[in-house]
Amino acid sequence: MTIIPRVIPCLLLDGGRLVKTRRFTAPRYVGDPINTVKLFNDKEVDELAVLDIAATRENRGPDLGLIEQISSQCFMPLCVGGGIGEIRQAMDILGVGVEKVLLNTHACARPGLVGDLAARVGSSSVVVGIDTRPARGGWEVVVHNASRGTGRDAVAWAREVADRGAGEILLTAVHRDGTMEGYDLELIHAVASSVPVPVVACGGAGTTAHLAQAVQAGAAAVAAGSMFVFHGRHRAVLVNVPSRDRLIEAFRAGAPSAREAARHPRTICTRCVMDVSDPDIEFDAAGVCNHCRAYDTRRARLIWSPEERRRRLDDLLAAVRAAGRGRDYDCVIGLSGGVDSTYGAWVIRHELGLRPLAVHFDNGWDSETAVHNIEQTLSRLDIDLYTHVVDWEEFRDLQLSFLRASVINVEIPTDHGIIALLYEAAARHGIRYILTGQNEATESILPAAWVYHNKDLRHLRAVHRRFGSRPLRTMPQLSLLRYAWYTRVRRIRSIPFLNYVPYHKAQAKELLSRELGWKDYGGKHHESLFTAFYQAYLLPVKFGVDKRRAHLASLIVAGQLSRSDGLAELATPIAPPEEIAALVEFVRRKFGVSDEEFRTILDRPRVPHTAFPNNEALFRLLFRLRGLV
Amino acid sequence: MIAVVNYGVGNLGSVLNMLRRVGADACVTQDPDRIATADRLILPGVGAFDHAITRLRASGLIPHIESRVREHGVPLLGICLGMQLLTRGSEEGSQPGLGWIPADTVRFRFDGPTPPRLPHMGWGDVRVRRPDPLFAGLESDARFYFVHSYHVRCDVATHILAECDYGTTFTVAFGDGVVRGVQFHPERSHRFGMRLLANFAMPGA
Repeated sequence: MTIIPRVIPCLLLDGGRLVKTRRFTAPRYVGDPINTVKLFNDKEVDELAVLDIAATRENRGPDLGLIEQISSQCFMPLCVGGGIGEIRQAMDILGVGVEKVLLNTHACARPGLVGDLAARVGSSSVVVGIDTRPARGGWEVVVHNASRGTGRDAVAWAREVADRGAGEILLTAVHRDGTMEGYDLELIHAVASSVPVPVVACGGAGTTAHLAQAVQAGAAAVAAGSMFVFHGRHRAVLVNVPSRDRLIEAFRAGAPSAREAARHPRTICTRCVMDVSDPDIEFDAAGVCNHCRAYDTRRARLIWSPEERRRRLDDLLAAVRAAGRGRDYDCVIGLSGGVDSTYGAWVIRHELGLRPLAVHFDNGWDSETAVHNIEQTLSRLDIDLYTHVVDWEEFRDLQLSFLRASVINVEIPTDHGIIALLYEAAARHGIRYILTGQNEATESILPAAWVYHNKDLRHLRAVHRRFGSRPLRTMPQLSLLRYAWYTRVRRIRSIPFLNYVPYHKAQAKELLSRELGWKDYGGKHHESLFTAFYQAYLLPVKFGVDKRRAHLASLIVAGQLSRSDGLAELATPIAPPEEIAALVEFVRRKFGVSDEEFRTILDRPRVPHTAFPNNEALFRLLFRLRGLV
Repeated sequence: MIAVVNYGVGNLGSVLNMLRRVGADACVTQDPDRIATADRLILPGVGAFDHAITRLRASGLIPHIESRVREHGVPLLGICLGMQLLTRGSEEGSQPGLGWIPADTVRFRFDGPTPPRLPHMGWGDVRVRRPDPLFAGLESDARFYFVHSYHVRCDVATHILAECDYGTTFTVAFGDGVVRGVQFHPERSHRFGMRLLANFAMPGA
């Protein structure tokens, strides 16, 4: 669960009817207030604002009977405004169960009203509405439904009402009202940075991205009208509110949560784009994160000059060829259909003329694109394939175990299976080299808190024992003992091959499309539908992690991407909401679990991997001894 | 019968509305006789601490409430400022509180360059610290609506039932014996508040 800014539908009453205006004019009937309020209540919105735009115009007070009816339908906070000019009226409204009253035109005429009311009912029940539009390099406060100017500057007036005791300001950009083109962000920033109280932005919202922008500009909460009552291009009247997941995603994409921001003065690295979504991140005085510094340290050791690389490649090729002499294959390669492994296959086969055996772990989640890419690569490069199809019922049971365990790395079953299979294939065919697509150029940064050792078979079995029910029969498994046998006795070596050749991701993609008819599948590792679900939904929503961040940070430190381009990409959604919803539904159906059960599994609180039996300490020791396991 | 104590301060309408929604038999009252026969008591409250405690004392209801709670073991729930009134006193004012729970009410203090805004106004994720019938079914997923600038601080850690984060971690629910208090507004917290008030009104139902 996450704290997200309040999102507040703002409804306008005109003679007992709900209307929606455009730039405060041309009211259009949108429905009956009681039923509409009930709909918003059922959708569990954070709060509701109901403003009577006719009261002041008709020179009358608020319609208490209607307000009471509205209030009885609200099981969320309610703010009521329009025509309130006396303490008594405000008290009556609060008396029927309304949380907050909003003063606007009358406060402008008699500013003392704000303080008097705050003294009686407390600041937190007093909201001042400020309607404003651009004027002389600033914004002028307007009243009487924007039909009259006041000569007051909006920022100065906001400061004054906050001083007088307003607990909150509803700031409406008249010139954006009903346009759905986005908030006036400059206005929000100018006012929010000048007052200590929460500012609710209103006027112009059309999308969830607009809401996130307002919050980034300084709004504590966001209000909108048209966005929640109109649907589609033709502005059909239909009450609609973005789901909590969509809002979380939108606000996440925009900025780290308020809670994180409050805890960490710095939230994002000044050099790459890693941020506090990695709980272990540390920044130095210049705001550079530990990942960047670690990269600099490793760089000398793992990222070689062109000459050094050439020399090492020649040595490696000589060794691989020597080991393959008299055998069918020189090396084993994994092939997922993704860019790293496909590019590896291209270089190994086409440029270096090695004879690889391709291994594919079919876990039942291959996308059509992945299958297409694998097929193209094999046939055009004339490579033999070794496939292992794991029994679906068994693998389903294993994957569901990890989901139920609520640990972050639910890809362990797949990753473990691939590694085990690579060694198994190498041993079976007497091959001594496994050339993998892992590389420092584009994968150097990955926070430890986002993953867990996928070689830890003890951990995999422990999670499965706890939450699974079917025995593991066809799932490839790699115990430490077996690993020692493969690497020590059979002397099989796994080489992060792409470190030995120049690797530029964008150029590689281009080459593969041209030469192999390779198709891009969108996000990194989206060649598997489960991985797509994991990276586009589970990681961001449940764990607050956007894995693109680590990929982009890696490209940035490697000089393959500019930081601003990285930030721009992070500001876009991982995938369109409809696509994510469809993906989640597909995954649920494929697992064959009910909606309710799936929801329960996904909503379970996060659990660290170390909560289950594991060989973490042993792995750490081996890592220190050998540099790499 | 649940008696929502009316001492002239607080959002009585919405509390009553929610109680009726969950099917509880409830009334808003300032009548000592009704308090004397109620089997549950709710002490609401919004606004300033001194104003509220002064009104409550002036109502003459405190001895009746205290007698029901202490002598008859009738459960009492303080909501928002009503919770704070159960403490010894508040930094917001100079008047002593009821002191029925060993706790003080203090203003939010934040360190860091960008302190969150006050009042804390909005929804917060609430974590249950100690299992309690009041939070049955709310252990893993509970969001509540908050409006406050002050929060309670308990002397006794085991009195803390639930916590929330807003710039800092603070106590949002406490309990000792039959006395409970919540800082948030269950009456305005959708199904989460509905569940909590139902738990209070009809435990085990």
